[in-house]
Amino acid sequence: MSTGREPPARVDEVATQRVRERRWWPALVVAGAILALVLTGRLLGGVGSMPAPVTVGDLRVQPPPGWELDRSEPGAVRLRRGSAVLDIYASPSSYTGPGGVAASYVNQVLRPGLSQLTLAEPAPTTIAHGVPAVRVGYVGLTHDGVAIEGVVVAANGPRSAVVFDAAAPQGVLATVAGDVGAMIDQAVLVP
Amino acid sequence: MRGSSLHRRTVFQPRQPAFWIFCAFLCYGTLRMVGTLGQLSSISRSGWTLAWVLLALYAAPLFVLIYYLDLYEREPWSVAIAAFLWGAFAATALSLDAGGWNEAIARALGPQAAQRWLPALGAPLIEEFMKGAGIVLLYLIVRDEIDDAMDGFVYGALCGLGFAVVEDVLYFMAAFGGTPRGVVQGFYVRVLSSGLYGHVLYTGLVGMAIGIVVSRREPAPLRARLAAAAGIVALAVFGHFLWNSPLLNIGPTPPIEGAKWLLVTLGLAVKGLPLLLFVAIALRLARRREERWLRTALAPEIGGEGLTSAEYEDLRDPRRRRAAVIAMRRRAGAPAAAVLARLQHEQLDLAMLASRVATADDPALVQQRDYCRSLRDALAAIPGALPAEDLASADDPG
Repeated sequence: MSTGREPPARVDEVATQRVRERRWWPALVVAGAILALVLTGRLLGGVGSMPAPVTVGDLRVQPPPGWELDRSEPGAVRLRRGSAVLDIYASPSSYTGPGGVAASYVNQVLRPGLSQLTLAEPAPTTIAHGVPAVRVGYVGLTHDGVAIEGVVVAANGPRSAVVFDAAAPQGVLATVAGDVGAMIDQAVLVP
Repeated sequence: MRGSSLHRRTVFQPRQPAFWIFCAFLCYGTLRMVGTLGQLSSISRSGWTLAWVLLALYAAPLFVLIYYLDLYEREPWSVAIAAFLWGAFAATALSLDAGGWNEAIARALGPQAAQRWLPALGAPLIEEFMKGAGIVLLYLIVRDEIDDAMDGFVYGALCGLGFAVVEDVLYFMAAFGGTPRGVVQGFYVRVLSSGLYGHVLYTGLVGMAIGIVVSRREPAPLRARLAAAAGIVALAVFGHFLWNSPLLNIGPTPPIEGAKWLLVTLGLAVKGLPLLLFVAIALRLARRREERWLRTALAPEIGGEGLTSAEYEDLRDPRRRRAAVIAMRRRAGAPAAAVLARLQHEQLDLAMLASRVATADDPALVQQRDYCRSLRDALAAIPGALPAEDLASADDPG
């Protein structure tokens, strides 16, 4: 009869089997293999150290580990992680609001750069802990035929407007969505 | 009371070291993924909610379908749910954490090649490893529950289903815009058009390979089993690679409107259908093996105390088994049907024991036969439980 604490012993079980099953080493080998894969990946990918924050217009953005500064110009920064990129652009404030900023960006940057561009419905969102913004998802093809997924988040402040454009080859964007969301949401307005 | 949980343990085995390691990774993964998924909800609350509702409608029946694949042995619910949760939270979080490999591969390939090939090169190995590691930990927790290819497939497929659900939410929100319209489009592409080809199949195969290696029913030597398992894992990884690669991409390119959506389904079928067919054949073969195993294991028992020949005829055919229980419910009510279901359950355990013990008079086997007989006696005592012909023969003194 079972005590309730321990599952009843199998009647066909040899006496030493339970003891063998309780050994730590097989479970530790599995845990070690998981950790080795994660840590080796971080080492090879250069993940681990926190990159320096970047400032674009009135906004300071902290890239998470694994992201690196690919390009920096006045009013524009490109962060990269693997084949995913996050472009951040700042421009003077616009009277058209976040929707207008997003529309301008789509027309001036995305349409010339991507063929067969398909845009999702613009959706309201926020950046930097509550600044109203607009979000537009898109898919398109680069000139060399690679299918790209992306999302544009545009906001308009009293002094400047800012556009985040996260893009990656099809299938990759979802893997960096958390990072991109965190960068946009936790961006800080520079006083 | 006899050990009714003879072969059916729960996942809660605090004395098993693997249990704590499983829990530690699962807790970490849950915290990590709840944070990430919660963050995505800010894109569109309605889209986020719709994503979960649609995925629940897809995952719930598929979960049940996978669960009932094994005709002769019901896996414990707690272990099945643990496999699903590992895929949903631990494997997804750990795969994201191992994303550094993607950066390394991207650097090695260069930006142009990385754009085309990165999803095919990094994810299949990392994701299949992380999901498979969960199945190995589950095996270490409840070794009796994963002892053939079919068990492994069931747990692997459930783990893959969990992974697919969370990954789909990420895709719907991040790649399809996250709005209700985008979520519906994502659901069409990733679930309706390809929900049977992806992680459920890959990890089902990985689980099947693990089941073959650890099987105690399999007569083949370990070396042969290892070779077969390696081949199956390689096939799973290759299937995942092919799915993510730009090869065989014959579907339409954006913008996709109207009837072009049907071409999306067709294009995805070209990539996914061959592996689906392979798995269907593999499952059929695994089921035949189970039938053969049952027949061999129970052959000496038929006509004995534990199993009558009529009971065996019902037992070997899952449809007849269910039909017998339904007939019993009509004839003698739900309690009698429950006893009959229990008797069938214990007779399957009798087969398991018969295939493991060395001699026919092993005390464990004798005990199990006695238990089956006592269940049959209990059933006979319920009014209306015996069929009319049995009653006639019981009444006939001659």
